[in-house]
Amino acid sequence: MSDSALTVAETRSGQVCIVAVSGRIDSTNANDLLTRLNNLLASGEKIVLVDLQRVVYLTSAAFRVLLVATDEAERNAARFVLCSVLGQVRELFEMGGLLDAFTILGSREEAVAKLG
Amino acid sequence: MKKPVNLVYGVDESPPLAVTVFSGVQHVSLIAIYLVYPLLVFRVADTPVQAVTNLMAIGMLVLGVATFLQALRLGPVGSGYMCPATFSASYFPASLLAAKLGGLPLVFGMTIFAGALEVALAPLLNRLRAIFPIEISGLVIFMVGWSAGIAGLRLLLGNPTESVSAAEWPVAGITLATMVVLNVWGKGLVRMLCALIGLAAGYAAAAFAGLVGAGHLSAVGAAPWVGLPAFGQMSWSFDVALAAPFAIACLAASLKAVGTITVCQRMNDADWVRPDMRSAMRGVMADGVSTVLAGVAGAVGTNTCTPSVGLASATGVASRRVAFAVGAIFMLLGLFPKLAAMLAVVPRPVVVAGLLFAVSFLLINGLQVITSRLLDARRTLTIGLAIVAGGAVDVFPVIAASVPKAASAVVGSSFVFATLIALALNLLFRIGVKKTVSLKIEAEAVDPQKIDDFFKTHGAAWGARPDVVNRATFGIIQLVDAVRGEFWHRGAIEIEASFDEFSLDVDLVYNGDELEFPEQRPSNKEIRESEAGARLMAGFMLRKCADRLRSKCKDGRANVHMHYDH
Repeated sequence: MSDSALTVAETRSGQVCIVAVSGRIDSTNANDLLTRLNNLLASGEKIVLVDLQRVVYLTSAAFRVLLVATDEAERNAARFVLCSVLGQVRELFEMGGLLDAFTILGSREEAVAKLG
Repeated sequence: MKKPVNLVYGVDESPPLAVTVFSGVQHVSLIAIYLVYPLLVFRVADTPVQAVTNLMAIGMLVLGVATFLQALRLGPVGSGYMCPATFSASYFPASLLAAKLGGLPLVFGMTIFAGALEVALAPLLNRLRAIFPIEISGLVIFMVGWSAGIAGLRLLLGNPTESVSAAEWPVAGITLATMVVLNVWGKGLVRMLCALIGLAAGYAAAAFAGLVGAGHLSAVGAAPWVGLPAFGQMSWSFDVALAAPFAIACLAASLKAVGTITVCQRMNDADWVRPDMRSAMRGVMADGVSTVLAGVAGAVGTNTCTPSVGLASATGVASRRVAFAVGAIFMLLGLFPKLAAMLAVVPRPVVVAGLLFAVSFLLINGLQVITSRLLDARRTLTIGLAIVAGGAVDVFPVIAASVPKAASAVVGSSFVFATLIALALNLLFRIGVKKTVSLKIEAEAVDPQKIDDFFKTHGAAWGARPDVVNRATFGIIQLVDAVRGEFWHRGAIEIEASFDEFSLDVDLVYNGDELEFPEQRPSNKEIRESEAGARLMAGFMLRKCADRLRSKCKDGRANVHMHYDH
């Protein structure tokens, strides 16, 4: 873990809207992230790829955000995919029994190649 | 579980039939050398050759059943790994003592006692880690080797009724030299079977030297080729004076089983970080059940076979199907009385040479386990003084002679005495080991980074494992994140972390309501629909993250205790 607040950066690769999240995700900033993701889905994005490579840690509040966004994507007939779920962050997904709750791909490049 | 690259067949994989059978034969050949332990015990009890033949056949059947039990996963019994059973040096010193004092009935009765004790001990092992640290496991292995070696030499050199003859020296020399030469300079299968080839060479030399008498040959000739061993011819007795030696033997066997199963876990998982105590405890349970069966059937205590697991590591074949093959081969061998009869009449110098060969590895294994961790002054004194104490009672029999009779079984055995001294010193030296630090978090200044820094700094100073520190850090950050707002009412959150080398305990106290820590994960729908669902998820994750979690709320003060094994 290191000193880092939540930052969210959006980029695009073809049809894929990539949301690169970095820092920590907890109850103090989870709603900010949810708002960003909901806005993207509401704006008509059909493939949203959330890159978690630079996430330092997350709490259960982050899982709620990701589950809500997955649900929202289904309602909008969009695809909501996670990638680069590595190290300690992956262990937390495992601990929470949530690896099967999301579509999780490997690296960002692999995910873009698959989704694009 | 990620399969390591050098592993050819992992625990749940199925090798071809030929590989399974051939590997099984290799393991049986390796394990066969340890049949010298029951053989020597039966000889010390002056058991007639025919009875020894029958008991050796029973012993092979017991090894077959024990190997199956260990490889299966029957509820709380069986580690599920390729970890065959063997007759263990762990029970050898205590069994010899029982054979001398009360003959075979006492050996079998005390073996049942030790097995039952191991069954009772298995579920508690994780919590008793502080009392039985790894360096004491190493000492136990070392002292088993030491006392088994001395016992073997006594059989040859210290037997007043049958002193060593001139012909026995060269036979012992040929046996030991064959094993050593093949082990050091041999290759492939020859090296793996060096002990068995050495025994065969020794047997031939003994026959040539006239040490295999007509009586021996007639016993082999009289034994049928195929037949079931006779059960129900034995009796059992119990002597409270031998409870301590057998309890120590049981402890030694349990510690060895945990160590061996840990090796199996590491061998099968490239991402292995720390021992999985659940499968280790199931393995110790299987070990205990097998030892009870051994005592009931008429054999000495069984234990996991560490060299066999080493062989699996060397060959890369760790499939538990091989264990089933090993179990089946032993059960088949138990149905050939002629083979058991040949084992029963192995001449004394051949058996002792085989024993010395085996204990050499045991001594070094023990030293390696002892030195596998950093030995500070406390541990150095614990191990050093225990070895001196064990050696002293072997060198100076006057020590055992001068204590009351009730204590002579403890003080009279170097293995038992050294282990007890080490356990006592370990407990004594735990005084002042625990270190405690605290942190206060004000409601308006919650900073996860500060919590992270707190644990990182102290974790590094304590020498705590980073994975454990990370879990504790996540636990506190998650807990603070979950209670802030509705559950944490006023004042500061107080965190206290205590560390000793076996555990990291974290207490978190705050004014407010108690968080729920469910055993079951809330559904995705529950998590999605409200923050309360996310909070339930937090409670679930905290329960999963800690090895033990306790929570209470009294007079408006909530207290959460999280324990992490280290």
